[in-house]
Amino acid sequence: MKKLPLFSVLMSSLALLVAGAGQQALAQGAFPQREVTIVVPFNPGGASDMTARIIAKGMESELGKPVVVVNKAGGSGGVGMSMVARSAPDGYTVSYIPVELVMHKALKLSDLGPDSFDYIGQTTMVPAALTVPVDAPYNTVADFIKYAKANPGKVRVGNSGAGSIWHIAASALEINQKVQFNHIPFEGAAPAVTALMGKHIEAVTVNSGEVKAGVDAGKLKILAVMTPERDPAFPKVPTMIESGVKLEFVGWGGFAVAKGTPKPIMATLSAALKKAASTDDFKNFITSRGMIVKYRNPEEFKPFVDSQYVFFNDLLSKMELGK
Amino acid sequence: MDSLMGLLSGFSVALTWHNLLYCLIGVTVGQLVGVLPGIGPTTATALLIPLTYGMPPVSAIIMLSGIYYGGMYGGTITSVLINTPGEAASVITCLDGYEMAKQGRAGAALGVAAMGSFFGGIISVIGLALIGPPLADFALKFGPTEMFSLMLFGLTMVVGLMGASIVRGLVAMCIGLSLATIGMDPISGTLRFTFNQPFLINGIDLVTIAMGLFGLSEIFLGMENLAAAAKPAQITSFMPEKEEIRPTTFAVLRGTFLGFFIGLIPGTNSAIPALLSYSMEKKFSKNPEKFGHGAIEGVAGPETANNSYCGGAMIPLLTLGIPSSPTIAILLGAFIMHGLTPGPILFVQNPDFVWGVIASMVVGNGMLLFMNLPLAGWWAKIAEVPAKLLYPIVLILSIIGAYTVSNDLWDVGVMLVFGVVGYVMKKIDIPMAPIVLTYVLGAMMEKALLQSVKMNNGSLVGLVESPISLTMIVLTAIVLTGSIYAEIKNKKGAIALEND
Amino acid sequence: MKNETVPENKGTFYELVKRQNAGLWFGILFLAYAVLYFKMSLDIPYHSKLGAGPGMYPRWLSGFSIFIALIYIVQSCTHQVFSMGRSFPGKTELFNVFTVFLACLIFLFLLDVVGFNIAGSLLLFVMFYRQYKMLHAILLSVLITFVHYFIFKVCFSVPLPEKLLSLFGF
Repeated sequence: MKKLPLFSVLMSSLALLVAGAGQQALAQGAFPQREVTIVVPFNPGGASDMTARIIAKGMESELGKPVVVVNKAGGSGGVGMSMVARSAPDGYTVSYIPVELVMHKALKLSDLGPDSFDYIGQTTMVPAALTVPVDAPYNTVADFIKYAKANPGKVRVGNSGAGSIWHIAASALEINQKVQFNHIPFEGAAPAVTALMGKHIEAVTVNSGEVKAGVDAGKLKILAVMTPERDPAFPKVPTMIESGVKLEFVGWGGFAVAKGTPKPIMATLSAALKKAASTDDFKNFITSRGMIVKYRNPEEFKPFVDSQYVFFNDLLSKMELGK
Repeated sequence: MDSLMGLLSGFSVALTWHNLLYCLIGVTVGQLVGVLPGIGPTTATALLIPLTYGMPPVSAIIMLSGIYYGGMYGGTITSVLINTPGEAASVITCLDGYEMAKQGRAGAALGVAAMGSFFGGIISVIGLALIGPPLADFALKFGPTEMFSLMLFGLTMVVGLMGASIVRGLVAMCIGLSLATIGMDPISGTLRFTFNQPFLINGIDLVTIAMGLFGLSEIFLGMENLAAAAKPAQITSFMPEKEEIRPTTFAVLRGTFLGFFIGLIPGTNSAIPALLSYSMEKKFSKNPEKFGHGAIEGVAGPETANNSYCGGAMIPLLTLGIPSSPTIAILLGAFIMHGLTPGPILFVQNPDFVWGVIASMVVGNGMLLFMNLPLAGWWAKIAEVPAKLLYPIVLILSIIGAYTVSNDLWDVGVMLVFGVVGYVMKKIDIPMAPIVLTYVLGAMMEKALLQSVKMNNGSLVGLVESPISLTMIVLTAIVLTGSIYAEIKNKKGAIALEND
Repeated sequence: MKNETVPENKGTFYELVKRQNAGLWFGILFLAYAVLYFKMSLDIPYHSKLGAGPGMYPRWLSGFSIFIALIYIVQSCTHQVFSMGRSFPGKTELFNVFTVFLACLIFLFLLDVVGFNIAGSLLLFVMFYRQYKMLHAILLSVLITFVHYFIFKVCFSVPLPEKLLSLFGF
């Protein structure tokens, strides 16, 4: 195992070589001339992967060339995203961009930031929901906060991993309301929800889609969603703002290409993405997975990513994480 | 009685010709991806989900769950024949299965694995149908605290795999445990031992380690001298010998209950029932010294356990919507995509669907048995393929298998490194199974312990406050004391006196 | 950990290597690994707000590993001696193993340059050429590579690199 550092130098120089010598664009005529690859920086089967696959199908019919999805998991999304950021800026390699991009620098996971990419557009929004067991003694956010204030550090809030988006969601609520939670990290949202059902913890702040089964089973109840508007999947549940907590918090997903991609290619890609994001297939899928369809064009998406970068970095610095 | 009626009506759904066809496709694909190292049922299920868009939901889920339990049958084949486990559960099968193949008993190993798997699969599906819902609530009692104690218990079982020398076993254990700490720390997110490599942030993939240590090192060993590579003995029947039938039957029965029970617990994986079953069989066996040298119970028990695990793992999914393993999580995604939210409501609103899927699992297990029993003899012929042809094929298969882990050469390189490590270790007789199993248990154990401590505001008191956890810890203590006592009694206990 | 596997030409030196205690050398390497692991674990915070920090478990584990390594070394010097000569095979055998290892390394470097079909065929050819007639070896390696390519790339859409083929418009 002592060989690892040497080995890793070897591997990374190999990777650089590939990135450099990679696809020489055969750029004549209109884009695209050959198949377009969408890189998903996570394992197959997750919400991000499925989103990208349905978008790929939609873009394929628009672009008239195959659009293939490749999973490059690892490094909390850093491996796949870095690969695209370093790829030739010819529009043939597209990355799925999760909200985690804006947290990478603060968590010291990679050097990626908003400026590493040119953005094609946003497609989805992932709402967070404050969920508690159905027999918990509080029915509103105000009651919950009151309970948390009376029991500082006693309310155990499960999240999907240290420094993960739902951990930050709980911290945002904590900071906003000046209460103190005991954050319990799990490996992903599902184990956290399971622990909530078994009453090993008091609350979770994960995607509302993840708790739907538990709510339907009569084991959990949602106190509030953190989106600006009510979640169409749970029309009776109030938003945080309606409940008197001035807080908005959403995850999101979109698509981007390497920095420096020519304007006409960007235009073609973003037109195709817009079409793909407005198909019924896509809308049905996104709603069924507890997410919300939210299209932003490139001009709106870039400033949004920038503002999210500021917002998350501010939160992360207050959370004493990022080691 | 309701559930019995439900199950019967489920058969009317499962036995329509197109559902039978989808079931057959599912189990065949599952079996195939089980055989190919690297591509496990998790990946296959994920890749096939988009194909199920146009299907009726019940057919889609029948097919996808077929991949899930079919994969367990397939994984056996590579482990027994070429010592290359495709997933953690099959590591255990390698121990005795490959030894049996070397003795020309590959057919018997595969046959007994198929029959055990069938039995385990059927019983756990019936268990799922009849007593599933009440058991699900019990499963929820397993929080991080209970999980830690279960892992601790599992770790003492690893001791049973250590072979001739405890010290060499402990060396292997330390390697496995330390490898498990590579990557992001589960509680604070701190990066540990990553050498600034993005590939190491999420740790080293288990499949890569297992394929390197077991499969690749075996190839290196074989390539030393291809001409002299041991010719496997003539293949005998795929039935166990007469005196083996009784212990094998008991091994299958024990494996069934163990797998079913572990399957209920969210957050476990199929390696755990296999490991526990192997250790249990060794304890119960009249001649434990046969283990590691081709004991048929060492194949039957674990193989049964990982199949009945599949049925057990469906219970939290169907009754509460809890995914208890990565493959199940992808199945859950498929449910949702087809507009079905698993949970008690599903039993009320779509009984045809739920019972149809459950009945299809009975049917699918039957199909797998009929595919595997005759095929066992056929597969076993692979062991007769001349080494000079077989080894290069296995090598390229393993390379692709490692490549599929993250579609990158990194994992191929890591596998190569572990192949060399495994080769050296085989030469100086350091057992490799403890490396892989402590790797699985170690990461989960540290996480569960720290979660439990954090939930109890920094105190360990939870470990003895929870009755389940306390029971496990007491059991662990009993097993440990028992083993130490037995060692001392056999005058093998004192490390200094150890001799081969 | 691989230094034992490199065949050595000088007869006397080779004899010397053969007499070495393989267990001892492995023990020393394992000890070095444990010490390195210990040193690195010192960089990770031992405490956190809770008490147990991310560095606590690795540090105890490394201590235990060092202890086990020492026992192992003592044991392999006194009770269970695995001498190099007895545990490892002769020069030709080691050379065979080394060839395969080297072929795999070359495969790693070639894969992204020339694509899977060519790199894979080459790797197989290296393993086949001494066992089969030249023509058979070439045919076998190309055939097996393409069958694998078909199964994985076409049936399971594993993105195996295919650099040269794509230049010809595939």
